[in-house]
This record gives sequence, C-alpha cells and structure tokens, in this order.
Amino acid sequence: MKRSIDIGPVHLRVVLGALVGLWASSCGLHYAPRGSGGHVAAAGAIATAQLVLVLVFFMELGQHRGGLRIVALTAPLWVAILVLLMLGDVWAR
Amino acid sequence: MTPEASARTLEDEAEALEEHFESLERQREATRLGTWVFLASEVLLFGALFALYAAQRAHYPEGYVEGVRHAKVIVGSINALLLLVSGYLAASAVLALRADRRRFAAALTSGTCALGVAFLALKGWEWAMHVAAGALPGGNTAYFVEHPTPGLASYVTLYWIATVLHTIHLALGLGVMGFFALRLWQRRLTAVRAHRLELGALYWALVDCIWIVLWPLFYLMG
Repeated sequence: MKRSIDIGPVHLRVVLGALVGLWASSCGLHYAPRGSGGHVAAAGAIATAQLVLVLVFFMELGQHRGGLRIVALTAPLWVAILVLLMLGDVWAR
Repeated sequence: MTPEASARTLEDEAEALEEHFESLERQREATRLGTWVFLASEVLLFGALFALYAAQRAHYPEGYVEGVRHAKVIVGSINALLLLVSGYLAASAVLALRADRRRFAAALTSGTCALGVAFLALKGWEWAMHVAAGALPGGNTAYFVEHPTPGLASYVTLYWIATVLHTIHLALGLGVMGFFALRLWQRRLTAVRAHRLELGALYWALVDCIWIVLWPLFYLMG
C-alpha cells in the first residue's frame, strides 16, 4: 500500500485541537453581529475545513491509493452538483 | 518478539486470511474499498436532504432564519463537540490496536461509545423539548399558528427527517463500536485484525462528518 503521510497519535491530537478551535469559531460566529450572507459563508467554510481534517486524518484518506480517494471524493462532488443544480432551478424561476 | 508470540501472530494471520484473498494486505485493501463505496452511498442519501434544504432555504429564507432562531443551539453545539472528540477516540483506538496496545484500544473504543450514548441522551432531551413545544413535522400544530412565518414548517420537517436519520446512523455505529469494544475487552480482536476496527471507525467518522454539516445548517446559519 502506498503511504504518503504516516499518521501518528501526535497528529491526531493536533487535529483534535484544530477541530475544537474551529468548533469554538463556529459557536462564536453564531453570536457575532450578522452581516448579509457573510455569516453563512463563514459557517460553511468552517464546516468544510472540519470535514477535510476528519477525512484526511481520522479517515486516513491521505494514506490510501488513488482509486480509493476517487471513490471518497466522487460522492461529495455529486452532492455539490445536485445542490448547485437545485439552487440554479430555484433562482431561475 | 518471543518465538511463541511470533508463532501466535503467524497463526492469527493465517486464521484472519479469507481463502479467496492471496494476502492479508489485499484483503484489507478490498474491505477498505468496499467500506468506502458503502460510505459514498450514504453520502448520496444525505445529499438528497442537503439539496432539498438548499432549495427550500432559497425559497423561504425567513422561515429558515426563524427556525434556526428557535433551535437549541447549546445542545446541538455540545453534541457537535461530543462527536468530534469521539471521532478522535475512534481514530486513536485504530492506531493503538495496530501498535498491539489492545487494552488501550479497548478503553478508547469504550470512550467512543460513551460519548455516542451521551449524544443520544442529549438528542432525546432536545427532541422532547421540541415535542413539548409542538414543533413537529408537517406544520399542523398550534406552534405554527403562533409562529406563522412561511417556510418554518418546511424547516421543522426537514430538521426532524435529517436528525432522525442521522441518529439512526449513530445508533448503528454505536452498535458496531460497542461490538468491537466487547471483542477487544474479550481479547478476541487483535492487531492482525485491526482493519476490522478501522472499518467501524470509518463509519463512525462518517456519522461525525454528517453532523459537521447538519449542525451549522439547522442550528447556526440564522
């Protein structure tokens, strides 16, 4: 098996720290004064960063073969296309 | 490693290898790929809900802002933290078992389960509060007469569908991780079979990922 990153307990601890930091940012953002749309975009960006950390470190996606990564990334890609098409349909009406 | 331990490991490896695979490494890769395909299908299941959420929110922005205003933010946030920490424990348990630290892996897997149970308890309490307030799917209760914002019923209905579906997945994951914790305490899951625990941890991480998306959608994006 091709390994590009060797994940160890220290990596996981650092990632947990980052995840908790992002969690706190999300909570803080909820109580921050609202802007027009910026709040939603920031919450989305934080969630995306958390997802990437979980996928790469907790699910060890960075360690596996290309075929497995394609399987893992195809589903979110289809979901993103589905969401964009539905939003396009709503806004075009 | 003593000759006895080495012989035991070889015996374990021979026992763990299914006859249709030529090596344990091939077997691990195949089970990993199969699990990822399964997880991808789960993402598509939730993807339909995310798409519906996006369309409904774009159509009724006021109703969704009102819905988020009524959400139990503190409960949802604590649940998010519980799942993040439990995901860390599950991933650490896999590393511990690979390093042949079975008792530590058992403790970490049990910790994962304990946090999962705490999530379920909080979720049950949150649902009870919504039921008491009349915030139920369909929009036919007095709650929606008191709060007649267009789209609020859509938010509440989607909230129930998404959280119930997620909780069913979490309960299944809890069953899987609980089974592995038991096997670890019974010394029936060893380093040779660490990939089995890895598959359970992958499923647990998926449950974690789904909540990472649901939490801002239903609790934070007001």
